[in-house]
Amino acid sequence: MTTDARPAEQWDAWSCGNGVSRLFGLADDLDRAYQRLAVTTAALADWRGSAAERARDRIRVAAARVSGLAGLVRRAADAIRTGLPGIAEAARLATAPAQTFAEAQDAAALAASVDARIATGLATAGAPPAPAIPPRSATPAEVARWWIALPPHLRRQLMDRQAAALGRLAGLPADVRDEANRRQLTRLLARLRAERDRLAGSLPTIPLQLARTAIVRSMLTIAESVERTLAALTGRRPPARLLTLDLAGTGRVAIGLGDVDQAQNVAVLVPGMGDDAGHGVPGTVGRAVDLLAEASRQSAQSTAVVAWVGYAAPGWRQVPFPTRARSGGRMLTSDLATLAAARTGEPAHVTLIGHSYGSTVVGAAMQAGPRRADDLVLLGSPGVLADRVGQLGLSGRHTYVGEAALDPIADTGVFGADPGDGGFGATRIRVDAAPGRPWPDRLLAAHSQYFDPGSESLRNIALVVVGRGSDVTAPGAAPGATS
Amino acid sequence: MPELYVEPQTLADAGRTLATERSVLSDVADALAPALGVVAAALPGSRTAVAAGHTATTLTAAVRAAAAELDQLARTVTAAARDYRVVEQTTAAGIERDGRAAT
Repeated sequence: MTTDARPAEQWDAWSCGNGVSRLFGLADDLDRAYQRLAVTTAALADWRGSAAERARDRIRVAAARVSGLAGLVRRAADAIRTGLPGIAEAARLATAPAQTFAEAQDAAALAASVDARIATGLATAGAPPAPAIPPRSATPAEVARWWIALPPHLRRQLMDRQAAALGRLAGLPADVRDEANRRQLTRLLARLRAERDRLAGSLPTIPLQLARTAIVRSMLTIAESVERTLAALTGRRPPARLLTLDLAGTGRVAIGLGDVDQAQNVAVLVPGMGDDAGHGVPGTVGRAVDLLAEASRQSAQSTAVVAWVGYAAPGWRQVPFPTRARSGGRMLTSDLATLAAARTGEPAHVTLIGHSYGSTVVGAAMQAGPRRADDLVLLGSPGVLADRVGQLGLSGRHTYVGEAALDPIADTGVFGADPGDGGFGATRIRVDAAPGRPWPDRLLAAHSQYFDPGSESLRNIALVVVGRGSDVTAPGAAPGATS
Repeated sequence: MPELYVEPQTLADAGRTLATERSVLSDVADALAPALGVVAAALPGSRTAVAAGHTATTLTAAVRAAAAELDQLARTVTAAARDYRVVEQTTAAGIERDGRAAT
């Protein structure tokens, strides 16, 4: 391998990124040209005769060719884009002063390696794309790259024929997963309603039939809950995106508000006991709507909020145990990796907000894998499976705890130390309920008032989400000015 | 005479779209080399710069070939629209003439 670092001294990652942006723009132009040609082919559907068939065939082939070119240009752009961080680092090392010989050699090796990887990527960008859906073993990053390179006509074919598989594929852009999951939801609703009616017409006598009826009822409960929630969000700005839809078992649902692929701040709301996919979707989405509105008031930065009803939230029987928090933590870690892989620009500032048992899930996620969040907000927490904030991989300045005075769950410390305890090391935030909430209600619902619109609590959560954690108010401090 | 099942106007619109997209592709072909040139210029002395040059040549040729195909299609479809319109007008005039003769 070469040890000559001199070329890298002159490398300019910023200009290179400019070239990449222009290439992606040209790929978009070709995409749109393909879409218009596809519409034109459809408009000629009524034209009959041999001339018509030949003309339509030729236009169809030409459209597919344009689509293929869009894929080629995008793949070339992506081959360079993935090397941009390496280029920047190689240039930085090559120009760093006072290097030892070994450091200079390392810098040269890095430059050569990045260079070779991009050059190879460009050389292979002309190979035919792989139209088949990647295997389950593919990482979200691999899936994201596969989709980027896929020509639009093949994307359309897959969406028409394999929407269910696309909806489950981690690493795809949010709008693609949304379209795939909505199609799948429509299909499943029709199938489940037909099955429910069929079963209702017969008397369930054997255990198998009873079990089947229960499964259909459970799946339909989740699907109809999602259907109603999405219907209520129709026409909203920003639009809602159905990021996850899985009706098996207790189900998994995630609905994003805002552009999770582009937004500067992404918050993920993790609900607690009782809020599984069959029961927790409307409430969690409602809290996400209120949080997004408050975040928009607190900052001009773009923000997206994900209502993550993505784990088997416990009922009364399971809630004393951390089993579901641990499995939920693994799922949350995996979904956060998915969100990160689908992003096309800078990484987002990510905040995980866990309420009640959801905070235990957040704690488990932070200890389950590589760090995926920049800030944590733990509300009414019975513990996060840790005794000190350091075990969560973040400092106390990035871990915020809210405990309402009369919340019976906070302070219990069932799962590790009480995060609100001074020894834990987190930052306490003031979580007063909204001024309009009546006192009896404050007493009875102290555990569920954290997201009240207009409350000091919601304001403080939103400040953390938009990266203004230093502006939160502490318990006992004067309330901040709610804008 | 066989039925056409297509409005000549629909064909004319299709011809116009094909011509427009040909123009889009020509613009893309013109812009590819400069965009990849930016990449090459940003990475002097690299293998990537050389590969970017090759990629520019290959992609530009492919896009130009596709543009040429669209150009030919645009001409053919536009000509067909014109021909069908002539047939329609001639037929309409003939029917009107026959009608006058019959009365």
